[in-house]
Amino acid sequence: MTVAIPLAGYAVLLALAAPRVLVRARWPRRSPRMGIGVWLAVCGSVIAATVLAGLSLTVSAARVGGDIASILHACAEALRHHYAAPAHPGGLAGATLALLVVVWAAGHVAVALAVGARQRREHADALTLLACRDPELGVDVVEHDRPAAYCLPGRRHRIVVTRAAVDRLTPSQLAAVVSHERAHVTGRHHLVLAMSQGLRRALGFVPLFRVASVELAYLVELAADDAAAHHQDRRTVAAALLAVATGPIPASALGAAGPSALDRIRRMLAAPQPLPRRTRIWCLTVVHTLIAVPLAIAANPAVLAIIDHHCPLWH
Amino acid sequence: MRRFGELEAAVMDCVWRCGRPVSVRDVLDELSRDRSIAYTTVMTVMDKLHKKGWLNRQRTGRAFEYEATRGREAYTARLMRDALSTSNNQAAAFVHFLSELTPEESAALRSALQVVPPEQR
Repeated sequence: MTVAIPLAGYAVLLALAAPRVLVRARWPRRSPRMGIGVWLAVCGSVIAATVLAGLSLTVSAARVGGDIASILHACAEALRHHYAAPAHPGGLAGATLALLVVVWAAGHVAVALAVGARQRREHADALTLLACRDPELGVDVVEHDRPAAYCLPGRRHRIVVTRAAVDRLTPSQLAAVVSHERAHVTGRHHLVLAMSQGLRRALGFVPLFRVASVELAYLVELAADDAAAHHQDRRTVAAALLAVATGPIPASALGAAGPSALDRIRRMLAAPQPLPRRTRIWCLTVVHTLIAVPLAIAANPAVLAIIDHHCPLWH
Repeated sequence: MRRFGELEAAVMDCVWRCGRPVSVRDVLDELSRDRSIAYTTVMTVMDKLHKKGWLNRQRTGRAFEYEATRGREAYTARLMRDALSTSNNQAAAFVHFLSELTPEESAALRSALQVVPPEQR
C-alpha cells in the first residue's frame, strides 16, 4: 500500500509517544513559547501525515514525483479514474476516511474561530456602552466588585479590567496585569487556542489532541506571565496574581487553565531559568523535522523505491 | 463606525442618568452641550439602540419616549458573567485571576513574597 503504511505508522507513533514525552518534560515550562511551537508542530505533523496517507492511497507510488502539486494532481486524476471504475474499494475507502477526518477537524477549527469572532464583536459593542476608557493604561474599566482582568484578542483588541482590580492592585501590579493581557493579544494566543480546542472537539478520541489543548492553554498563560515579567519584576507579577486570586469567588468560576494560579505564582517567585542555547536549537530542529518528515516520506523516491520492493504496488 | 459607538455610549449614558423616559429632543438637548449634533443623528442612534434591545420605546403623542431596558449595573453584571464564565468561552479566551487559592495557600504564598527580595533593576 505504498507510502500510506509508513505515513500512518508515523502518525500513530507520534500521536502516542509525543504527549507522554512532552507532558513529563520540564523544558516547556522554562520556555513556554518553545513548548507551544513544539506542541503545534506535533499536532500539525500528525494531521499532515494522516492527510498524506489518505492521498497516497489513491495514487500509484511510481507516478509521484517530488512535490505536493504533482501529488495532488495525480491524486485528482486517480480519484476520477477510480470513480469511473472502482477496482480497489478498500483503498478508496481509506483515502476517503482520511480526508474526511481532516475536513471534519478543519471545520471544527473554522467554527471555533468564527464563533469566537462573533462573540468578541458583540462583547466589544457592549463594552463600548458600559465601560470607561482609561487612556493612560489603555484599558477599559468596568464597574464590577470582583477583581478580574481579561482581553478580547483580535484585530480590534481590548483589554478590560474591573474597578475592583484597579482599586486593589498597586500601580505596578496593575501594569503587570496589563502587560500580561497585552502579551496574549500580540502573541495571537487566541488562534492557538481556537486551533487546539477545535482539534479537541473534532478528534478528542485521540489522546494527543485532548492533552495538547490543556497543555497549550497552560503554556499560553506562562508565556504571558514571562512577557509581564519583562516589564515588571517577577515579584510584582507574583503579587498581582496573588492579590487578584484571593477575591471572593462565585462557585461556578474556575481558573482558565487548570491548576494554574498556585503554580504560576510559585514560578514567578522562583528565579527564571531560560533554556540554554543548545536546547533551543535542538527544539527548533525538532519543530522543523516534525514539519518535514511527513512530506519527506510521502514524496521521497528512495522511500518509495524501498516500499516498492517490499509491497506490491497498488495501481 | 467608531464614532457611532461613542455616540451610542453618550446616549445610553444620558438615558441612564435621567432615570425616566426621555424623548429624542431631551437627549439632543443634553448632548448638544458638549458637541454639535443633529436631531436626525440622535434619532437614528436611539432607533439603533432600540433595535439592538438596549432601549424600550412608547409612543406618547407624536413622538417616542425611550427608556433603558435594564440598568447599567444589571448589564454590567451580565457582561461580566459572560466574560468570566469558562464553559463555552471562545471570545474572551483569557480570563484572568480567578480565585483558586485556599486561604492556607494564599497565606503561604504571602509569606513567601515577603522573603523573596525585589530584583535589582
